[in-house]
Amino acid sequence: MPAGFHTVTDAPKPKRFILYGPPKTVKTPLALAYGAYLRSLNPNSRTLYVAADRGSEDLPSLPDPSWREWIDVWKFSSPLDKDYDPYKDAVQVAMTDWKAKDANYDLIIWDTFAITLEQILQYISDKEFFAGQGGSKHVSFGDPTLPKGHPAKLNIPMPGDYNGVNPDLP
Amino acid sequence: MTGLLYTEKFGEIDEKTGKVRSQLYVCSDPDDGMHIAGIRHEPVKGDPRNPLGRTKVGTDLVAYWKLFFTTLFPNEQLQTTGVK
Repeated sequence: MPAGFHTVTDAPKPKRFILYGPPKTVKTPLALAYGAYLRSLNPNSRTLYVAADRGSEDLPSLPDPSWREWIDVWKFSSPLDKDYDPYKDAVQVAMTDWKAKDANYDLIIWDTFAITLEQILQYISDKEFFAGQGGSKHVSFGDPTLPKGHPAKLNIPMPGDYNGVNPDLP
Repeated sequence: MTGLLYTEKFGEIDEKTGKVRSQLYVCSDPDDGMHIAGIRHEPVKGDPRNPLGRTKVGTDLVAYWKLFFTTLFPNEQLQTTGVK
């Protein structure tokens, strides 16, 4: 071992964070600063920024313009695009081996995951996946005998859960 | 999950200038009443999700992460940086 080096006992492990809070509480800059911190340890470190929020692909919350060079932006398709499918988009990003694409990727920021989930739920409603259910029954996973709200029973949302209006009704 | 962090921002009076400045806090304290998707976050003592409590971050956001990791993962820091 070279002189001056300590014995290392812990290999670096993947880290996962959720940042949450009211609007305009510096969540995105704080997440990007994590990338800057990693960059201070490894000058080649890069960050993948998954831009789910509308307009976030332009990185308006970037604390330091010089950071832009080590940030790659992934932009989702929009509802106006042909073959728009936010679920497919999200799975594609989540299942991609980004390290294989660029070994310098040390951080993925998903900004924001809540928007992605909203888009997926809206997409499900818009596509009327449950139209065959008459729109009045939930599709459930898990044990149907369990009471409503039990963690082992999951009801898939339907348009009515979001105050969706059925245009066919008089 | 390594960290479940809640951000807050308040206007505070700067003692030197007397002017109001925005101040960022990052919270990971069980007393902060954090809820995710309707579920109360109940940390376990020693759980690395809640190591620092409510931390005044100021303007140096990178310094927060340095504090976070040097507090929680000092050995990993040594391996990453390779310095004493």
